[in-house]
Order: sequence, then structure tokens, then C-alpha cells
Amino acid sequence: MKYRLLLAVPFVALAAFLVALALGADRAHLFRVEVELAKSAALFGCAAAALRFGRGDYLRAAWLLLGQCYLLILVNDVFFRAGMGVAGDRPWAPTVSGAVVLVANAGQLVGTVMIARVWRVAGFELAGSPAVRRGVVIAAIAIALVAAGDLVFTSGRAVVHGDRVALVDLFSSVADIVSFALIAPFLLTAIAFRGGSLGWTWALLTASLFGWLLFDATLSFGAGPTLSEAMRLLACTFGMSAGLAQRMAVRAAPVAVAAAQG
Amino acid sequence: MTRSKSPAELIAEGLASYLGPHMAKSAVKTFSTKALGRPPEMLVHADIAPLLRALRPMLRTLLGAAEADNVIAHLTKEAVA
Repeated sequence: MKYRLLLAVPFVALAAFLVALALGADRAHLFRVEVELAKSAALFGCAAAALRFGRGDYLRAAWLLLGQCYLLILVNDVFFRAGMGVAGDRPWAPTVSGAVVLVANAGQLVGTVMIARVWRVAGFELAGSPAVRRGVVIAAIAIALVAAGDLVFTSGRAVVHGDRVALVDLFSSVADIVSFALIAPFLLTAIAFRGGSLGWTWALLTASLFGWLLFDATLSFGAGPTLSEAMRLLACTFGMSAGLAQRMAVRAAPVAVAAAQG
Repeated sequence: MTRSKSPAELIAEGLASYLGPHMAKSAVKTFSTKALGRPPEMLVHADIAPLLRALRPMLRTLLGAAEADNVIAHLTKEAVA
């Protein structure tokens, strides 16, 4: 029941966002509030998951890396981002902002890879035959390239023309493609854990990654800010739900065993 | 209450609530074969402790060291009860 509530949270958040838009809220202000609230929610979920583990635990490091990404992009919004941050108009702000985003994305990528590799580290088999698994991986890579490939091309062209700031966009886009390709092991891990409390963590993480993939796709295909923000909101809130599901699953483990033994 | 269950069933049922029934059975099968060199249906009561030791690294990765140890301690207690 609690896990189903976590599944509902992103859709409730999305509904609230759409209702606010329909009621004629100032779009720029609403988007700003939505962006910061969504990132804060994701940070909260990642921190909740990480702090449930002990020092040296594999998944603690992974969740901390995901959490630092949300923390750093929030810091960037508040202090360095052009047009938003309190120091966003300083001449050095673009350089600092780029460095902060670079570190955030690099950490997020490593954290995502760590969570995607949990099956290998733990030593169990993913769901499906090798052929099915290969098919899912190839499909995920293809979808990732379609969703974010254009952003790599656009930022790569800007870098070639001497725009050094676009290097950050290029790195972010490449990191996104790698992350989206990892939807395959996330999904296969969720399927492997189906029927168990840990399955919710990977299912919600898969939904979060898919939300980010759709966010990039809306940017690539010029779908407009409302749809982009809706996808960002889903990605962040699914990330929060995944973190809370992870915390609940770990916390409930001995209790769950006791219940099963009946 | 669990005397009628085989050791493999006992452990798989204990892990199913959070690994899911499919993965719990699969994990018991994998680590039974790897660590004890026998399929799960050939395990005896004395194999429970070594099998749980073999499962420990997997549980530590998924649940963290403290919770994994709690689960193993609980299953060990259930097995001797």
C-alpha cells in the first residue's frame, strides 16, 4: 500500500502543476517554483535512501552520488545560474556554473552506473534470456540516441565553433545518453525483483530515468516549456519516490522476513 | 512450524518479501550450487548456515551490512526454532 502511494505521488504532483497552469498562474513564476521544488524533492528522496545505509555500503555511495547532483544543481540555480542566481550576472559566473554542473552530472552518471550494476556486484542474474536482455539493451540505446542525440549534435557543433560553455552541455548530453541506455539494466532488475519490496525501488528509478529521457526528448524536438517541465517534474518526483521506496524496503527487511516465516 | 519445509524453501520464503519470490528462489539456487556444490533440493538442515553465509555478500549489497546481518540472524534463528 505504501509503495503504491509512492507511485501515485509523481502523478499527484503533475496534476497539481497542470491545475495551477489551468488556473492562470504566472508561467515564469510557476516554472521557477516547480523546478526548485522538484529538485528539492529528488534530493530529499536520495538523501533518505543514502542515510538508511551504513558507511561503506555500496548503495549508500550510489544514492549519495545521485543526491549530490540535485544538491549541486540547486546550488547552481541559487548562486551562479545566469538570470536566476544571486551572482548570475558576475563575469566569472558562467565558468563556475559550468564547473558545478559538470561535477553534478559526472557524479550522477557514476551513481546511476553503480545502481545499474547492482546485479553484477550482488552476483545474481537479471531477468530474461541473454537474447531478450540484449534486445532490451539495444532498444534502450536506440531510444536514448533518438531522445538526446540531437542535443549532442547541437552542443558538439557549438563547441567546434569555439563556444567553450557548450562543452558542459555536450558532456551533459553524452552523460544523459549513457544514463538512458542504463534504463535496460534498471528495468531488468525491477523485473527480477518483481513481487518483492526492492522491486519498487528499481521500478520507480526506471520511471525516473524514463522521465529524464522524455525531458531531453522534449528539448530535442522543441515540444515547448510546459511539456518539458511536466517531464522534469515526473523525473524528479519519481526519483524521490524511488529513494523513499529504497529506504522503506531496507528498513522493512527483517520485518518482512518475519512476516514471511509467519 | 517450518519443519516440513526444506532448507531451500525456508530461506527462499524468508527472502521473497523483498527480493520477490522469483529472485529469492533463483538466489538460493545460484548460491547453493556455487557455495555448496549441490542443487537446492539436495540441501539438508546443516546447510542452512553455510548457505546464508554465501548469500551474505548479495544481501549486504542490496540491504547494507547492518540490515543484511539482521536478516541472516533472523533466518538462522528461524531455522533452529
